[in-house]
Amino acid sequence: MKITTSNPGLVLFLIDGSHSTGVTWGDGKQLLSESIMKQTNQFILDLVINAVFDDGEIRDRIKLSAFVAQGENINWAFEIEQPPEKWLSAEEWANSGRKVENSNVPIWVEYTPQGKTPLFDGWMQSFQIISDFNKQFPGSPVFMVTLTDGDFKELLGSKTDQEKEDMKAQLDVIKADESFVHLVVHISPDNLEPLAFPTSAPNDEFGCFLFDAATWMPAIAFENSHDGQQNRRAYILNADAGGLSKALELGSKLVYLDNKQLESTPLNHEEVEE
Amino acid sequence: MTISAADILEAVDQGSWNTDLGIGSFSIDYSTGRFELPSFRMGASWMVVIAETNTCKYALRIPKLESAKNPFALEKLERMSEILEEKSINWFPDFRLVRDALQVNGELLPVLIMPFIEGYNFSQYIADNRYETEILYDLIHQLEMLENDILRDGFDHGDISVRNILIDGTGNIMLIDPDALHHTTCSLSRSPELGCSSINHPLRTPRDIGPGLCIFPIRIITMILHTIAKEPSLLQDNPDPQAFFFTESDLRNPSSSVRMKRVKRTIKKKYFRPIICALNSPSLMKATEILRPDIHKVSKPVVLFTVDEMLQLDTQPPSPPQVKQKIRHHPKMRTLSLSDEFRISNSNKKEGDGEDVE
Repeated sequence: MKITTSNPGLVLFLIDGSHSTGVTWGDGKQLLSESIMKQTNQFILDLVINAVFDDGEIRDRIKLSAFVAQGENINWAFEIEQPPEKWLSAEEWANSGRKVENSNVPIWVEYTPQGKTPLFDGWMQSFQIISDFNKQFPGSPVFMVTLTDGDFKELLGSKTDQEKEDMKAQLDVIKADESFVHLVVHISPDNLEPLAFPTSAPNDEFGCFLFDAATWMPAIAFENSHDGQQNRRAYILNADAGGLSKALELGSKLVYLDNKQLESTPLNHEEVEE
Repeated sequence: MTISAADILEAVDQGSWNTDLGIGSFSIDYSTGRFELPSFRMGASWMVVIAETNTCKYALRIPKLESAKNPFALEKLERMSEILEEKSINWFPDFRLVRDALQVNGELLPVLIMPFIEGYNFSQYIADNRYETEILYDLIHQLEMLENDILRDGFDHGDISVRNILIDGTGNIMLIDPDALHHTTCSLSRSPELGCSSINHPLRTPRDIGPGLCIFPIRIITMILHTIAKEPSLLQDNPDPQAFFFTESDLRNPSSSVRMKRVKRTIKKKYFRPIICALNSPSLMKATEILRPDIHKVSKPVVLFTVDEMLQLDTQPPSPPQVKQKIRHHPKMRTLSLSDEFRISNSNKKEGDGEDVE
């Protein structure tokens, strides 16, 4: 993403905060929700350090927005009051992280898992915010992250085909803008076979729906790739804690690394030479 | 496990130094840090923190990207350090690389130590002095001299931008950031960086390697200074160094750029036309020849080895070819992207552990 103060990017998180994220991973040590919060806050800290904090100043290069979908509501995720435009300037969000004892990562996003997952409504609301942002900053990049552990019944069970079509239509309008990236990370505590950055949609309807909701990964992520398969979706199904961590680490890099830096990163030949 | 900038700052905060840095007892500067972390400056592949002793301040550069830590990159930096010292260069501070200096997440990182330059960052200095034409024309003169000095000494900086130029306390220009610093005696086939896209030629590729890389960005900055001297209101009070005056799009599409048209109306043709011709040329090499037709004369390689040294090198037995260690991958994840930093893992490991398994 090429982000500057005159061409700021929008980073928008939509987080599944439902009751089911209150379970522990397979190792029994940490809750899914704790991992989601930890990695989201780490993502935001990476943006502060790598993108907006420059020579001792906060530069307004990234607007930030985040919502937690839980119960019947799509809740604003930050302690700082929600502004009418529904995103924060870098001066507002970068300074609002709360430092806590025994952690080098401040807290921006914190929630308690509860209720159902109105993720579908969250998507519709997010698309409206992105549409508003595009009107105000035409051509500026948008990076959206959806984090969920939901299943078909929970996310789509009550939705009619028409509602799903309407949602897809709205998404297609936003996806037409090449500077829009939607990373969909589906997590699972059940140690299921993961599907990471697939080139084609899975067979089941739910996996296929999430595949369609995600955008293609930006081409820069695959620059110089030797496998000849550069068309991969920004989508992970059944990620475990490690997969979640790496996916969000990659996501933050896609936001703050200049295209030029990625292009010039030398190949790790050991990795591609078999 | 990959190492993030936040991990590095935490290690500095905790004083995880593995070896004596050779600057005596020091403390880390926190004056502009956030969230109780040290003050820092972020580069493309390295980050900088500031160390203070009783008598001096030092910039400690620590690599944050895998590519900056590879042995070739480090050897090149050590060689650059030797050449700078040997040739008594005055436009770049001397520096020294200390290997295995900082422990971060169990990995030992090198630290590059250079004196901290007290002064102003270039973009803000220009903005603050945009109504002072004498200062602006002095900067133009200094940039012209700098270009000549760099070429004469057989160097190229490789990443000239307003972020990598400082104005010291006496108003003199000083370059920083040695990541892409290059000398004609060093054989390189690929540039580690492509520089700031709002100041470099849009057709620059990793295969473009010095000398002469500095010419386009210096000439662009010079043209900007001529423009500001005539029309100071074209520059913001607090410009973003990432897109100081032009955007990448202005340089890619100069004929449709409103800003470029404004510059054309503001300054003399002799300052504007060469840049437009260079932007319309089919490659960076052609652009450089347009801007500096004598480039091939002024940038002849400089032999730094004495005859004795060369004889000594010749008598050394050739070293056996090194066998590269292959990295094992999870087959589903391997093809994702460029390097270790982008590999994803997902199999029964503790959180945050990004290493792949077969």
